[in-house]
Amino acid sequence: MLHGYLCIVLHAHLPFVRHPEQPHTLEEDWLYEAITETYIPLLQLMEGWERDNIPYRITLSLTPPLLAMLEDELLCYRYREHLANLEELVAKELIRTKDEPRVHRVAQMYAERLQKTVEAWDRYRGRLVPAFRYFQEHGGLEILASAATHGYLPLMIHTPEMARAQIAIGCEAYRRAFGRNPVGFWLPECGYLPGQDRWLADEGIKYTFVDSHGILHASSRPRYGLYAPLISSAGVAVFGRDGESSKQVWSADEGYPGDFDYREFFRDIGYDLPWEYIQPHLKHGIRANTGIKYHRITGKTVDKDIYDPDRAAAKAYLHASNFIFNRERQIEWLHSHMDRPPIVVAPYDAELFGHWWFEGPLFLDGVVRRAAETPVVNLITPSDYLAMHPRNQQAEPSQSSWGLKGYHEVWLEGSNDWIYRHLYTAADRLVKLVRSLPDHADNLLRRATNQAARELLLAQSSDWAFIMKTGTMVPYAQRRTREHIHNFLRLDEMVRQHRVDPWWLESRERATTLFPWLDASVYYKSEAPVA
Amino acid sequence: MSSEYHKAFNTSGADAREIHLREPGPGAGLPPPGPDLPSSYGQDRLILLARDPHTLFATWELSGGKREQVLAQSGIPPESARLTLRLLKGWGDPRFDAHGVIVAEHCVEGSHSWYLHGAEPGSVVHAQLGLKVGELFIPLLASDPVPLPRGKESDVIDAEWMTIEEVLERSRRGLHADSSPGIMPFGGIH
Repeated sequence: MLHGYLCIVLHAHLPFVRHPEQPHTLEEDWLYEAITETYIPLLQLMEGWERDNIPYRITLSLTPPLLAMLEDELLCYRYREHLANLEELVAKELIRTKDEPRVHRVAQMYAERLQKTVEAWDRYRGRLVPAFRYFQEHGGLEILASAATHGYLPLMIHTPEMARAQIAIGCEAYRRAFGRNPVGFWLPECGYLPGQDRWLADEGIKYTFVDSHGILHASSRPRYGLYAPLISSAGVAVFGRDGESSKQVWSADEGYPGDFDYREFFRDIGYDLPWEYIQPHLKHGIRANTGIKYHRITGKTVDKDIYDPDRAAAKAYLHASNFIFNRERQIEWLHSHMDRPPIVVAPYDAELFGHWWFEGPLFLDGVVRRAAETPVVNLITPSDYLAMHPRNQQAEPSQSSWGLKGYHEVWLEGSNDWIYRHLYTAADRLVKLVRSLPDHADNLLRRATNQAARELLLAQSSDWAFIMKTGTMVPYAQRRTREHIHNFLRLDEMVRQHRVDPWWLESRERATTLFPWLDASVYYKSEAPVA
Repeated sequence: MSSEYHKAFNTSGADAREIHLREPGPGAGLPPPGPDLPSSYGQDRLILLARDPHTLFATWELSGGKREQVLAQSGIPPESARLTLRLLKGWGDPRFDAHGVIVAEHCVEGSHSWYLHGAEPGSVVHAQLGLKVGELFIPLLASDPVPLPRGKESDVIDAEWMTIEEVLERSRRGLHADSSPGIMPFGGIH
């Protein structure tokens, strides 16, 4: 008997890290690694479920910067070069490891995987966005929109034009990528500020997500706790993240990815092998990850055992069964206390599956296949749920995020609080600039104004503050923030003085290829601030 | 490596979110931190942001000469005035005076930002930056009001059940649905 639903939400996002000015950057590698280890495996999973008639329902956000990079000709060309480099390295590894059977078995695994990756890339003709679109139109995938550059919306409280434009531009990017209006929206970092939901409603968004306490601390107590959505005052259904199912995957102590049989992330041949051997494949000229790793986590030791792919795969499917078993018990218990089927919402960063947790795609495969077998739990998307249960409790979710401590501290603390003075000043100036642009302004002025908006959007990415807080790659995040604000200020000055440098403007447009259709008049609309 | 693994895995306290952005990066060849940004924009502004139910962040800029101008107009010797940041609640509440009730007050001489505590979770607060001379406070800048997260369950237990369409229809007809304490009309007290 069906007792309830499991809604798996994957949030796929990377900041815009396109660097045409350099042949190789570590930041572009974030994209290439995520394509190889997460995005293509996700497509391969859906292909497998379709082939086997598995009734899957998966909700996936693909953020606008990620969509822009996946559609970018230069990055796609460079990704193919990246794959060719990996093919050479793996071929060398097959020879180098031939006298070590256990290591060789792992090298063979990489060779087989890489071959399938190349086949998939070529089959999709290097265009993954249409592939995801196919599975939304013909399969069980529901794709979410998200904010333009993953701006952290609650901290834009005093410049409502910025938050509204992040939402509006994000939805427009979705329409252009997927040929339909978005129904669901992923709030960056699950950052929720009451009142900003009105701009989601303006875009026709029917639902979004918050962390658990966003629901539990709502303006009136949620009758069903986390296991049914609330309807916000603007008319957006808000689903709450289930802590129990999240913990099983995320938790350092209790989460599956820390199992000793799984692949050890931090033992990469980019660091382990002699420099002379590995150097030709490290295009940055310094040691870095290659994605080829031969060890398993093993335990709390530096003495790592060799990875066993078969044993790890078996463990992933075992963990998937355990995950579904626990959801069955959880949902049975919830069902006994509710007069409607509960929905358990389990959101994760998509890049966890495959990139960080190597066996994550196998786990997902197991979860979907096991869910198809059990009569107790069905996979579902929020749209499916709302179609079946349109009447829900009306209450305003609480200000919240899924960051450390549940509010805004990750993006507002000693390492990154200096950015807000600049971001707020630039926001004010952009609104004034757009409003003061004469109707008869020439194309150059309009392009410069649109580029100013693009620079500010890029400076607003929540990733920079996040990186400054977490302490790795900090100079890069600082540089990106400073450069985009600096460029914005220069463009603002140029437009106000009616003295645009066309060559520099063009160089900036070529460097920042996202939203080529952007019209800064989106900032013109007058809005009462949320406060 | 295990300790590194678990350390990285637990950076955010419990989670491994966005771990791809925390991976070991370029140990060498770090890019420069980028161009210098203006130390001043020549404006008068006080920005107040809520960080969590108990903490706020204030950052400000005073244009050159504003402080001296106010002191000169008041006939107050510059050395007797201290730049002071106030956190207040109850702005616009008729039970209080025009500025509300002081929740916290700090001498912020020489600073351009400050973290503030002491406000009640779920309340709406604002800040003032001014000059304090003895017990006299001369306001220079005021922030917009900011709602703090509630940080606990609501005391309201009445549940109203609606569809999205019903909420939208009510909104269209000007009948406001249950509104959060976070929603308030904009007062603009720059």
